[in-house]
Amino acid sequence: MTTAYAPSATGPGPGRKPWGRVARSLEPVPHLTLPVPDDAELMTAIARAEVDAFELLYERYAPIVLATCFRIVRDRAEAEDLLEEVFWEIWARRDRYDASRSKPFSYLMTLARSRALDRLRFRKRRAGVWLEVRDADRDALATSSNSGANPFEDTAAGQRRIAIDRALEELPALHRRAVEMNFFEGLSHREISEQLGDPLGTVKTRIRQGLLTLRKVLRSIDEPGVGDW
Amino acid sequence: MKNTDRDDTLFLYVAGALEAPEREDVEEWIAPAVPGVKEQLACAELEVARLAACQPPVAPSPAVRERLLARIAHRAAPQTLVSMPRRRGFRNALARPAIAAGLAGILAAAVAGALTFRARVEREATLLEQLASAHGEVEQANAELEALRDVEAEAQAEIADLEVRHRSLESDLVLAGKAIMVLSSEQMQSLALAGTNALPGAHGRVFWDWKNWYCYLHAQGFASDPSSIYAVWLFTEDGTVVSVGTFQPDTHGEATFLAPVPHDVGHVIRAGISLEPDEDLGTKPRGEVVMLGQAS
Repeated sequence: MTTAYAPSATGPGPGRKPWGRVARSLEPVPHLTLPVPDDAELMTAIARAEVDAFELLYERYAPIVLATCFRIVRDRAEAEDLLEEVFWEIWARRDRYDASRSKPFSYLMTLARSRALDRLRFRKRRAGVWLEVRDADRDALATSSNSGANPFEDTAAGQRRIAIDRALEELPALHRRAVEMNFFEGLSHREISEQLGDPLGTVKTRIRQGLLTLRKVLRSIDEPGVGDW
Repeated sequence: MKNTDRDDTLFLYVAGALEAPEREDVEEWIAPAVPGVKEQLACAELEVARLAACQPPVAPSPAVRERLLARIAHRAAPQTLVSMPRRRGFRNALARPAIAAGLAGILAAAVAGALTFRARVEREATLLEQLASAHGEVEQANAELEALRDVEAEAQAEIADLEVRHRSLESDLVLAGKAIMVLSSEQMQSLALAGTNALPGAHGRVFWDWKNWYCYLHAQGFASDPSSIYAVWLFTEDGTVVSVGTFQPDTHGEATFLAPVPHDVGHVIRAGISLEPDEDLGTKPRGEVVMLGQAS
């Protein structure tokens, strides 16, 4: 009899693959639902070098990691390069993940954001210019974003995104710009102050107030289900 | 620090919104295992991660996934060989072929390595040649650029000279136009000037235009001292002395002078030129009169 695989503590049996990709190929079983492994279970499996778990984590989070990288580096090809590097680091350094220190989603997003900001700073140092989103990339992004490929976007993440978008819109324009420049573009307080022509203290206050407002909005939204996102 | 403040500070720290010295304070504070801080930090990290993920997801191209899986497979391949289980029963039977296969593998790897190394060396040599060639081209281009800059500087200097000459010619043209106006006026009068004992060889002629009220002088035989200042004077029949203006002769000792004269000047009976100590003219000559002319 075919049974659904649980994310076992003993690992998969001979010839069996434990996670979703194989499970999807099984015949549907009435009154049985396939348990979907959560992020922590996936990371545990990845630590055991289980590629299927890695693939499932990739399927779950690659679209949002790519979107995050794209928002920072503003170049589709470079964002995909970063996506590959981030997930490769997850795999190649799987022994370094410490579940007691951070959740997998935090770990993944911290890694993505950090790598993207590093890349952006490197590029700015090298070129000395700020690159704008190319039209082709913007179009490609719009097409990809509207593809509806990620089922998690329909749930809590979607609500969260809408709420954050709205909260960002409701921030005073100068607060919003300061938050975007600091959080999404990785500029220092001094750089923002110089670019906007505002005093350093004012910039710092705007960033603090803006970010704390956004966090308040985040906290007002319910916790999601399977993933942490 | 209040718990709320600590919560806010941790969130801002994780979001990268704190800078030195605040950031260093937080790092110092979270370093020891203070109860509760670890959980608060994890909570802040999750919130920052959710904030960072607040844009619509973008479907990556399938190529990224393929590259990742290929890298994983590539890395896994040697591990599979190493972790291949040994079976004692077959060891003796398989020992020689296995050793031979191993040696062949090592040899093949060495040959492949040598070939790769050679290819790399050749590639590096090619790149170095290309680099040297590029350096040469850059140096040549720089030399051409320098030469062009010299040409440009010369052209700029010529343009500046031409502009000066152009302004001078324009000025001469204006002067010539006025001189023609004076000389062709139907109310023109003139008198000849001759050098006095102070300047015996000098001579010239002064013209008045009573219609346009201009005085024109042409004289020569001055000393070729460019610093000498001369003044033109008119003497009327009622004894009035009129100062017309000052001039400096050119290096050949010649002078052309054009200046307006007052409208109420009476009948001029004499004209003279004096050598003045400076350009400040008084009511009469302060220096020696060097040329003089009497109306006939």
